[in-house]
Formats: sequence, C-alpha cells, structure tokens
Amino acid sequence: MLFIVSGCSDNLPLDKDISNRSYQLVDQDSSNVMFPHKYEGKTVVMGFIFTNCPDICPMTTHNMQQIQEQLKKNEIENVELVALSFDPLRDTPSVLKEYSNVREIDLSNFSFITGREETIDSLLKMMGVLAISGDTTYTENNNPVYFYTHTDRITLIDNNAHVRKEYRGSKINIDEILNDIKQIGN
Amino acid sequence: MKFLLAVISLFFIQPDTIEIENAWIRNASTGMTTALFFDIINNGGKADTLSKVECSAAEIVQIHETFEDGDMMGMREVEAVIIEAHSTFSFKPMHHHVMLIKLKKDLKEGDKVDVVLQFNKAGKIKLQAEVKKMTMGKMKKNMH
Repeated sequence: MLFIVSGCSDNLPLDKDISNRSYQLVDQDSSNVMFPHKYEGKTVVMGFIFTNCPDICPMTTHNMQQIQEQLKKNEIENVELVALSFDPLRDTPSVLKEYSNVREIDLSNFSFITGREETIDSLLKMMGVLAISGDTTYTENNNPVYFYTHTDRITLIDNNAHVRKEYRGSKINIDEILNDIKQIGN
Repeated sequence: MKFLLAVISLFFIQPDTIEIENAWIRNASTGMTTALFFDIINNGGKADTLSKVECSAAEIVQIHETFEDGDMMGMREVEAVIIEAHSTFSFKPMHHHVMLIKLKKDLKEGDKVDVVLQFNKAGKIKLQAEVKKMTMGKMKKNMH
C-alpha cells in the first residue's frame, strides 16, 4: 500500500514558505527579533494589532491569551505567540510593554514586536495583512489621533516557517486553532 | 392604610423612560484609548436619541461603531444613536461603543468612572461605569 502524505490538508489549507524572508524587529523589552528566524523550530501564532485600538485588537489580544492558556492546560509546548503592531510610530517597545502589563500577559512565550515603518509595511504585505490609517480626530492642541481599518487576522505558522492557516483574529474559534496546532505538532 | 397606599402606588409608578444598565469600561493606561459599553433601555412610547457622551477621564469622547468589510475591520464616528420605543440598544464589543481617547489617567480594574449621557428627550443621565478587564464570560455576555 502506498501512503501519500501531503503538506496541505483541509484543516491546514495553506503552505506558504516564509523561511527565506528576514525582518529586523524589536520586542517589548527592546530586544532584537529577526523574524521569522527567531522562532525557528517552533509553531507561531501571530496576531496583528495596534495598541490604540479600543475594540477589535483587544479582542484579538485576549483571544491569543486564551490560546496561551489552553496550550498550558493541554501541555502543548514549542509554541510562540507573537503580536505584531502595525503602528510603529506610537507602539514603541515601552508602549507595548505597558499594553502587555495592563493585560497581565505571560511573556514567557508571548511577545509584542514592532520595527521600522518600512519593515512593518514589507512584513504586512508578505503576510497579506492590510492596515489603513484613517478615522482621524484632533486633540485640543490640534494633534491628530488616528485609528486603523485593518485585516482582522491571526495567522498560524508551522515549525518550518510555513504559513498554514489564517483566522479572524477577533472571532477565532479557540478549539479549532488548538486542534490545528496539535496537527502541526504531530 | 400605609399598605393600601403602597399597593395603589404600584399602579402609578412608571419606570424611568431611559434606563442605563451594565456600564463598563475596558482597563487601559494613561494616554491610551479605550471603550465604554452599556445597555440603553427605552421604556417609553417614543424613540429617543443619544446625542452626546461626556467623560472627564479622557481628552476626547466620541460615539463610534465597529464595522466589517470582508475580513477588514474598522471604526467610524457616529453623530447620534436612535433608541426606538420599548427597545434596548446595546453598546457592546464589536458593535457601537463610546471611544475614550487619550485617557488622562490609568483606568484600573475596579475603578469607577463618572459618565454623562445626553439624550434629546430624556436629558442628561449620569452614571458610573466600572473598569473591568476583558474576560471570556463578559465577552460572551456582551456579544449576545
């Protein structure tokens, strides 16, 4: 009998190799992060946020926390959660650190990353994520405060740096992604 | 006699036309933006309009709605919200919310924040919103 093992399945419909890409970023502790190489050999759950988002991105961040909790509960190891900010002008490492502190996020396998504007733009394009600045309002001092219309996304990347699946970040089914992570681990 | 008066008064006491319930704010740090959520219950026979929200905890206070366009999501300011007669309008995650922009102080879990809602008919309604961390239970409650 001949068994043909395919890299793709109905559960994991994508197989986009990003291992040959390289993006110089920093995390919430201002440590350098070379993406995706820093996470070589690990499964990555990647969300896309900006910290001034009052509604959608908190949901995405919360969902990532829920995933982290379930990974611990199910003793699933070798998974990193990475939240990329597409608002590098405002989301400096210290702002990202504060954002994680307020939410009491366990940073042992969860990081918030940012970088230079052009690097972020290039990475978003590669990952198929759009973030359009708009909905601008002004403070009393006439300083602009802007918000983004953006792709609502959590992306699953396997331990060979292949993008395997995309989910709605704010509405993700936690059981679904857990099963997908287990499948990758097997 | 007092008992009789109490029973009779039950037939004449009318609930407030507009009631506000379940007011809460997501926790956030100074300078950041967060959201205020609540339910507006219109017990009256006519529609009313929420036209303004005041909250001294933020530099800018705006009514917003979250919208979807395919897998893109965004927010836009809305001028006012109409609450139809005998209905409930919920400001809840992923729908309408009051955006508190550039917080003047940290809003920590358990804090109480003063808010004023201005309605065209009901006038100003003052309330306190409790600051909460997002929990799954709260998310499910507010999304239904």
